[in-house]
Amino acid sequence: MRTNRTDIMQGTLELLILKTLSREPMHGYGIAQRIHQTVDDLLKVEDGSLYPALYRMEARGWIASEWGASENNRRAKFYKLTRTGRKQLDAQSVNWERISRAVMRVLGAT
Amino acid sequence: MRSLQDLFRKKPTIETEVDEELTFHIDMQTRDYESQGISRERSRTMAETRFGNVSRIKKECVRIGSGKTFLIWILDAVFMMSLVTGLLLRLFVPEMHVNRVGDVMMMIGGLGILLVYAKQCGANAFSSTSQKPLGLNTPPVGFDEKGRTPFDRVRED
Repeated sequence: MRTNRTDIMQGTLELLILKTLSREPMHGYGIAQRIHQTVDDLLKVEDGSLYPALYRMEARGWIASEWGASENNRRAKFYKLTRTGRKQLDAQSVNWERISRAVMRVLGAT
Repeated sequence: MRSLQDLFRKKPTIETEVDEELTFHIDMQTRDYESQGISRERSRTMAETRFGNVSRIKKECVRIGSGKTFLIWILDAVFMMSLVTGLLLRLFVPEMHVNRVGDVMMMIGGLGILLVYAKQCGANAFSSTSQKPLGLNTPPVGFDEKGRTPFDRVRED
């Protein structure tokens, strides 16, 4: 396991969740697994921190949930992106790119 | 038939739903570790450690999730007041035009209460553990387009 992992910020976690759900509806465990696979342990994402973020995003109308059967036929809550969530994903992606470009520019200048 | 049984079953509270969701996550993680050859007890401990403080997270989710319940409670109260006021106007005020207002208020209140009830029932009242998620365009993780799990696919092959 890598030791130089970076703690993730709240807004960043929401962006990762939105991006993950833009592919297909998933349950919380599926989202956590997909994020871990994608970031390859470079970012420290505590599994539990995902759920308050999911509930907050659902309250804002970015995602919707529905109970269904999981791959092992257990009852699980599946989340899917709403139209508002998709717009939010686009806006946050643009914002993230702008911030990272600005930071890279500052780092490159010093 | 199952849907009717589910409709009359006690509606799960936000606490039980959060509990079920978090338990599912930890159980899946435990199973994942077990499949890597780690013992059951060690897998459970590792899954719980990886998840973080369960009781704190549960409390936070319930707090956020019950925001909706509060809104529903307010709506319920408003519609109930409308229904009762309409009924009182209808019974105790003899003027015709006031009676009409009472009728409209009763209608709004009654319909509103029904709508709030339907909203509260949502998908939970009609869901069962043996069915695939409804209303989703793409199959969830692990399911293929025909709704088969990996176990079903192996069995069929």
